This record gives sequence, C-alpha cells and structure tokens, in this order.
Amino acid sequence: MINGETPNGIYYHIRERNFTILQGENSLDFLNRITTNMIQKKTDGELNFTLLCGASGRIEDSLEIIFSEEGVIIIGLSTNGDEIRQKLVQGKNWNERINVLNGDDPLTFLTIFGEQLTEIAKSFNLEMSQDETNSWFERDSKLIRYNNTLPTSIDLILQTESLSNFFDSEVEKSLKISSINTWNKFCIDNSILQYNEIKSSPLPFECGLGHLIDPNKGCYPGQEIHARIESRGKQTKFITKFVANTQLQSGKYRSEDGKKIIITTVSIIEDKTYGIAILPTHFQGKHEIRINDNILTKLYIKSF
Amino acid sequence: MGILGGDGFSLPIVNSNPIVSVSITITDSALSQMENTLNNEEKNHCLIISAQSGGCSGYVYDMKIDEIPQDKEQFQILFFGNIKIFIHNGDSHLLNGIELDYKDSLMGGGFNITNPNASRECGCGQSFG
Repeated sequence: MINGETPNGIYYHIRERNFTILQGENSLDFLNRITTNMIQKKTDGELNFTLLCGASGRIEDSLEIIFSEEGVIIIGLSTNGDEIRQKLVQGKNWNERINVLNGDDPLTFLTIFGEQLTEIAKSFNLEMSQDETNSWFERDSKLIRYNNTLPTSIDLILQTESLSNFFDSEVEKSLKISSINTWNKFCIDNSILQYNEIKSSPLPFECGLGHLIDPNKGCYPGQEIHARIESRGKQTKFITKFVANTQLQSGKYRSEDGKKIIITTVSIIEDKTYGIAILPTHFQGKHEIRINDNILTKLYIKSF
Repeated sequence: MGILGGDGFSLPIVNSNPIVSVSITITDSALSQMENTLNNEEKNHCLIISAQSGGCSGYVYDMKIDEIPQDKEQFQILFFGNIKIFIHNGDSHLLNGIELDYKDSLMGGGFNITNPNASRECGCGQSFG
C-alpha cells in the first residue's frame, strides 16, 4: 500500500514555507492581477489556493492565502521567500496602498501527524468529528487547521517566539520530531506537494496543479501559455507516485528508452523507495517502467 | 493579540531595482493627442505612465491623466512643450527608452507603447515582460 498509511506514534514536522503579509486596501485587487484563479475574500478561515507563474507559464510558487483581520497571509512553498516578495513589490503600482511584509522569521508552520491525534486536537479545542478541512481557526495567537482526511493531521501556524512554550506543554511533550524520511513518506502517501515538486519550475498541469488554473479568468502572467496547453493538449509531463525495488535518491534519471525522469521526493523503507516523480506522458497508463542507473530499477507507478 | 500581533515582522519590503534616469520618445501624433486631451489643463495636470504586475507577460502599462502628484520627488518629470509626463522612480528601469505613439484608427487605435526593455510582449500590446 502506498496510500493512507499512518506512521506509529505522533510526530511533528516544521515545514519550510515562506510567509508574506500584505496589508492595505488594494491587496486583493493586486493579488488578482497575478494569480492563476480568482481570489475571494474569505473571513471564515477558508483558504484560497492559487499559483504564481512566470510569463512562460511555469510555476514560481504555489500559494495558500488566508484573510485575517490584520492583513492577508500568503503562505508559499518556495524556499526563497525574498525572491517572491521582491517580485510582488516590483509589480505594485505607484498609487496602490499595499505594504508587503516578510513573515518568514516571526511565523512557523508545523504539521502534527500520526496515530491518535484526539488528545492533541482537544488541547486546541478542535472537534475531531467536524469536517473542517481547509479552514483555519485562530486560537490564542495560533492558526490551526484540522485535516479531516485519513490519516488525520493538524497544521499549525504559530508565532516563532512562542514555539518553546508550545513544546513545553504537557500534551505537546508527547510529540516526536519527524525525520525527513518519515515526513516524506507521509507526504507521498497523502499526495502532499512540497517545494521539491515545483523547484524545477514545471507547468501546473505537469505536477497535478492544473485545477488551480481558471480558464475563464482574464490575463495573468502565464495565461497565454496555459490557454494554449488547455486548447491544444500539449501537456508533455505528469506527476505520479511510485514504489521502486531499490534505494533511489531524488534527482534526474533516464528511462531504459532514454526519456527524462525527475524524482522529486523519496522515502526509503527497507530497501524500497517510495516517491513522487514527474514523468513524460509517454508513460501514462503504464504500470511499471525501468530506469537504468547501472543496476536496472523498476518503478511501479501509482496514481497521484 | 492575533497571529500577526507578534514581534519580528519586517518593515515593508522596498523595491530593490535601480533607479535609472528616464528618457522617452513621443511621436508628434501622440503629443498632439495629449494636448487635445488635456485641453488647456496642462498647468495642474500631467500624464502619469506606470507599469504594474499583470497581463500575460508579467507587467501591464497604465497611463492616466491626473493632477500633479503631491509626492513629486518620487517621480521623474519629463517636459514636452507644455505637457508634463511623470514616471515613478520604481518604474524607471521598466520604462526607460519607451516610445509613445498614437494611432487614429477605429480598430486598434489609441496610444501605443514600444518598449526596448521588453523581452516579450502580449499580442494585445498591453502587457510586456
């Protein structure tokens, strides 16, 4: 099984996400000029997901957007938040009232995952039975989101200065820090994209993010390219999960017939590699492919 | 105190692009059209040309006739006869060297900008990158 496995114990992982805060009355209009779908102002903690693309249509960052009373919080996947913020600032018109702030240091994003999260959820006053996926709640200067899918996880955004207090509390003492391998396995099992999947600047359709493109939206950077791909069906790559029969590292590989394969995320367990890869559409519909990295490795393809 | 109420948030990020001394070209037809549009309001009004994010290619032009901005020191002011054109320092690297033209045509007419800094342009002529 590659889907829906729950690791033993309760783990936390501090995620590499960039935080940008927009303040000012023109923030929403400004965002809607550059994002791939229409951002709606939501005040109930519900999220907007969107993409920031370059003129070539390739992804520069994948964003989650939360509207708080104090400003718009933009959470990006890119590890280079400064570059994203500089891009935002450069695109501001002279008469727009917007401040772009750097929230990378003051805010921390962590995910709690594993077995039996009920006690943890209770400590945050979360009702595990409620279907509250994709909504954030503000509790004691923390933003909390309970992912009510299987397996469950809890996302937290908290002020970095309060991180030590958080881990000092009795319930949180039971959390174990996750190894990268365990976290990657959780992401692979649950189709959670990380920066690994977008750092090669794929087109949105190539990494499972085509649903974040609104073909009815007007111009945004990359729109012309996306429209052509949509109408002419020129998608050349797709994202997939796989299990390999040997240990593999993330990186670029060649298939036996010479096609380029990008392995973005791996988790190695007992000589097997569980991973996410971006493959040429040539392999769509195939159940296994062979890559030739001195020893012949088989990738068993699983749907994303 | 909310999630954004803590310490450590930086001061607003500023544009790190260099400010360049702007020079632009205006064709006779564009100048004539601007004179008509301003209609003897040149003393208190100006044309502001700017660039903002958006459009297919990354940036879109914006042109507006407005009262002279109060924070004039943020702009470079170019004089063409009685006409004053304001370009914000933050846009100077994007707009230096542009040529402003005007075509009097029922289809595809209006002001048009040719930009030597643009490595790509949208078919509609509004967007560049």
